[in-house]
Amino acid sequence: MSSPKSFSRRARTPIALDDAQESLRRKFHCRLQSERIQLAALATALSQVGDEPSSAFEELRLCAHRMHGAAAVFDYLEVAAAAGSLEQASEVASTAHAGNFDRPVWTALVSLLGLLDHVAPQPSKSSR
Amino acid sequence: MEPNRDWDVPTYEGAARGDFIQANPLELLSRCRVLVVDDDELVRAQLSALLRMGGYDVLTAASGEEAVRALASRDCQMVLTDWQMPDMDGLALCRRLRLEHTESYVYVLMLTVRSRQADVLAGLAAGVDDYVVKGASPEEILARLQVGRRITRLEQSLRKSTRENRRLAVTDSLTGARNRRYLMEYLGRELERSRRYDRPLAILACDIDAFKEVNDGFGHEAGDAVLRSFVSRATTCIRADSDWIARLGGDEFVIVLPETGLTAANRVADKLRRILKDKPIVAFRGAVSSTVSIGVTALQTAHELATVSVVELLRAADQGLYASKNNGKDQTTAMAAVAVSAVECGEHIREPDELT
Repeated sequence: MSSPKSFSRRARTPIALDDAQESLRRKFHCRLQSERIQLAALATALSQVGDEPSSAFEELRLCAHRMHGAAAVFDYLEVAAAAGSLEQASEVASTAHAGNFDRPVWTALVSLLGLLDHVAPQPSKSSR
Repeated sequence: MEPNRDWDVPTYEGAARGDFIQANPLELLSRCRVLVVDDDELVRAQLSALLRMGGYDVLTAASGEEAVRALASRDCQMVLTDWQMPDMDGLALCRRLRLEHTESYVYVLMLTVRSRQADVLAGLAAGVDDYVVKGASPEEILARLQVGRRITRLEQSLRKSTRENRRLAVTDSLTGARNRRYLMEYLGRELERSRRYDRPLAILACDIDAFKEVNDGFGHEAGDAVLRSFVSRATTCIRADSDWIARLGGDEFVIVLPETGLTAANRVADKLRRILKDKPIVAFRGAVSSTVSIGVTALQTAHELATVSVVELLRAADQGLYASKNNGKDQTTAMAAVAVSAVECGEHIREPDELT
């Protein structure tokens, strides 16, 4: 299991995090756990949806968008990039009325879930 | 003293009366306030913490609509906004801000995950000043906000200078009273307002008696002190929120009294004469006793308001002033304002171009 630090491409920034920011970063780290569960549930729903997966793609896109923005702000750049890929793939799939096993979507989804598997539930306090 | 003059109306594109409110000098030194708009609570909190660390006052909003409400109730120099949000997105917020928020410039920095060139162009087209993709370092975000801070400070400084220039353009530098330009612009507006609401309007034409003797006997500094003192004392006789004084030039002034009939205007004139006469003005070479001659006129009936022009109103007050001078000075003479078209045939009325 990794600490938040290992998800940052930026090893250390000149601006030191204060306690408030560090605490927010830990909260975000914990939130990623619940978002991983939500994402897994959305994946299950997508796999089971019938002929009209547009709304499932849209839910996936919204979840990925939220994760994309927040992860970028909290410096989880790998997670941000993976969430961005899923967001984009979901948007394309929804627009193109793709089937529920759309390959780019599932590739991005699996990749993101794989990354989130490595997010530790109880990160140690650290600075970037 | 020349009793009549040419009341030509200059084409002054002046400021509204409210523009004369002075800006607080501390305003430019105060901390810069940034409104952080993002629908993600943790992101809002993180950006707020970063900005506070950078020395900014921070407000937050969870949506475009909430941001609009915040901007309506609090002054913010900058907005740091996300693009995609519920109800109103960042682009719509920016467009609305540019449309409605015109009193002072608000610098908008968009912070979003959308990184395509088309997105950047759309943001800039909506009125965004700067565009940063989420994932930028905290240093970059603070540096870009610093650019915004510089720009908003420059804008505030420019606005303050413009306000001051407008004030100076219609202010008599010696006495602080309004100048002739202001009189010719705003007396017309006062007359229009009186017509619209059917309320009386009075003016006093004032001329300091023997002003030339004050200048010759005590020097120009004493003359200047008399003029300044006249304005300062006259200001105590009128209502601060509605009445005003304009200096036409030399020792001649016009006092405009909206919502005032002839009787009340006469009372103001008498008070003004008394307050000037009772207390000599202390000047460099000794105390100077001054008096003032005044002509009063008022438009009181709907017919008068509808027919008498600004030029005719000023001319009537001027004729009253002329009568006061001829009858021994230090007195008030009321004169009815009459529209040229209402004068009986045979009576000679001098046209404005005859007035010198």
